[in-house]
Amino acid sequence: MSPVLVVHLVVLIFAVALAILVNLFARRGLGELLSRTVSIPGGVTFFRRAFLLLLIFGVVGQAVTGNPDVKAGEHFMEYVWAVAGGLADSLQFIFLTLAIYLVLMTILVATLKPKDDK
Amino acid sequence: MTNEQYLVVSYFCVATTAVVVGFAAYFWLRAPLHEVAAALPWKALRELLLRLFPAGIVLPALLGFVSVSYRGCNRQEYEKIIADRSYLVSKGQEQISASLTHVVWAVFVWCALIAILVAIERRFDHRAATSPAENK
Repeated sequence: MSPVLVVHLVVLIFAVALAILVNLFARRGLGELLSRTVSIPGGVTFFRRAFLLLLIFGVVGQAVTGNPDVKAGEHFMEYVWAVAGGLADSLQFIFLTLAIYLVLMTILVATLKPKDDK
Repeated sequence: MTNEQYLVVSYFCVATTAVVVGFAAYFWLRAPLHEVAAALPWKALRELLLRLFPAGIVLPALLGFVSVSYRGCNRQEYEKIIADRSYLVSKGQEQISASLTHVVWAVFVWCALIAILVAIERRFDHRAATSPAENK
């Protein structure tokens, strides 16, 4: 297997794992907030599924691009740097997705005024 | 496999991947969108949404795919393009990335649209709930 392919695969695995991790962290809170805010059946499921899709497609889209500059027989740390370089774009996309999605959710909550916790 | 054969095979494989990506997103979001649409009080809008949703997800995936040009800005000749295998590989990667990114932006737009519709539906519900009381 070529070193470039190895780097691409490692970046892809790490990027998807990070996206799933972010979704796992946000899943419960997002679900609770949405179920208090959105009364339409299917609305909560739509926003939760869309969030996961945005994260996964976004990071995969970033992870498949680029041409890591690694050759066979290079030092271990050179592979690590190539993977880190590839992950930078995916992390940037996760951050961008979170930012846009949070703004959207804030507008939704501000508009719909969810039931309070009392 | 020659570079030209690789170009033909990879181009159509990537095109198929872009379509699969679009349909995957569509099938993933279809059921909840149908539920949201079913709750809307306006039948015409409901039908319009359901008809436009597949196009609104699959077309951006295709748009991303076709938006990547092999010729680039400096209008390379075909012979120069197929001479470099790594260039062909990078363009294929770029096409997959572009179709995924376009689907992401399309989903953002659909999320915003659904958020607006949910807000409008809530107001419509409030009015419907208060109007019988006002009539008494």
